[in-house]
This record gives sequence, C-alpha cells and structure tokens, in this order.
Amino acid sequence: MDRLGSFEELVLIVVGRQAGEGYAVTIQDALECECHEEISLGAVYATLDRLEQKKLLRSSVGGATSERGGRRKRYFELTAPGAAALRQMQEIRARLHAGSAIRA
Amino acid sequence: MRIRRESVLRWLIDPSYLEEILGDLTESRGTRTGVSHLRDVLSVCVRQSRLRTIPRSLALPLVAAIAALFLLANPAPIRTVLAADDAGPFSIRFAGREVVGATLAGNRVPPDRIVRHGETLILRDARGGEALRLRILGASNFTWQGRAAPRDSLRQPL
Repeated sequence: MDRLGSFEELVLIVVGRQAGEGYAVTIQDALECECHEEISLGAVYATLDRLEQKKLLRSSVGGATSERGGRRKRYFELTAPGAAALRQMQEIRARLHAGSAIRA
Repeated sequence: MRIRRESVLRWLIDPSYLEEILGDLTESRGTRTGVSHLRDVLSVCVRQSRLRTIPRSLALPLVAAIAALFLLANPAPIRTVLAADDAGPFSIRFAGREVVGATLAGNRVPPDRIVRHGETLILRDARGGEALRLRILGASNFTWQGRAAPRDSLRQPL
C-alpha cells in the first residue's frame, strides 16, 4: 500500500470524523478550523480525487436540496482500506513518538 | 450574473462534476472573504483539464474573468446572531434558514460538531456530548432553554 501523504492523512481523518456527511466545503472548513491555516477548495478536490482513485474513500451524490440553488453535494466516506491506512499511520506515529523526546 | 458565470464554468469544468463544484463555490462564497473565495475559484479552475487545451494567453484572461464573475455575484445574506445564557455567550451564523457556523464561548465550533435534525440544532463538544441545543424557528431566528452556569470541574473542552 502507498504511504499516505500528510495532507492526504488529514483529509482522510476529517472524512472519517464526518461519517459520510462530509462534502468538499465541510471538509475544507474542518481542516481550516483544526489546522489554523487557509486551504483552497482546489487542493481539497485534488486530494479527495486522489484518495478515491486509491480506493481509500468513496463518494456518492446526494439528493437535491433547497440549499445551494438545489445543486446536489458529493458526499465522501471512508472505505475499509482507508480506515486501515489511517490505523497504520497512527501505529507508525505512535511507535516513532514512543522513542522520541517529544511525546504525542 | 449567475447564468453568465455558469456558462463560462460549464465550458471549463467536466460536466460530471459541474453541479457539485458550482454548489460548493456558491456555498463557500457566502461564508468566506473575497480573497479566500477568489483563491478557491482559481484553485478549482487551474486543475481543469480543459484549461490545458487552450493557449496560455487565452487561459489566463479566462480564469481572471471567471474569478471576477464570482466576486461580483451576490453572496447569500449572512447574519450572525449573538446570544448568551448562564453558561456563557454563543453565536449562530445563518445563511437564510441554513446554519453555516457557530461559536461557543468565543471558540469556533468545527462543522462536524454542528448537527441539524429538522428544526433542532445541536452543538457538540470535543467528546461528542451535547453542549447546546436550539430550536430553529426560521431565518436568523431560534429559541433555546437557558443553560446553567458550569462548575469549573465539569467544563468540557471545545
């Protein structure tokens, strides 16, 4: 399995937290809120596309709503390989931090 | 303005993604500053494969024109309602009837902790507990049961 990039990992974590209710705008908002920096929508789309191509997440288009002029949203959710990749990264970080002066 | 803007984007963006991208850009226009929104529009445009099929001398003015059309479009009216009870101040940000943001005790609540079920709006704390429950009555209008002042030992981090 390809190792996740750090931004890919952050996006996967947010998608997992939003439990199938997340779409590009809410994912961007959550990342900006937690990272305290501006993140462009284009960067979020590019990463979501890449993660979907790697089959670490899947997307589905929701039904039309009165919000956003009736335009539908594309919702993202973690796949089993996506959750496994996140767990793997978490374990690697935990092992590395265990031997570090800086504790996680 | 929306029709002109969409006409340009319809040509540029892959039709299978057009609806969600237009919706996302429209939604984010209501909550972001002009500069941030401009960055969003440009970042979306430059990654469209069709842009690479035309000469750069045409591509740059095209992207600039799209950005200008988005900046000139009227955003959804955003209203922030400030309120307080014994537990402290909070604010709810509305775009019409839709809740697009919230703060608790001055801290921004991450969007995944803002849960809406019909008329009920719940703001959750970091542990998933219910920090505040409101009933949305309409655009920029809500009611709630006043919360009691927290004891320091029971305060939940946001």
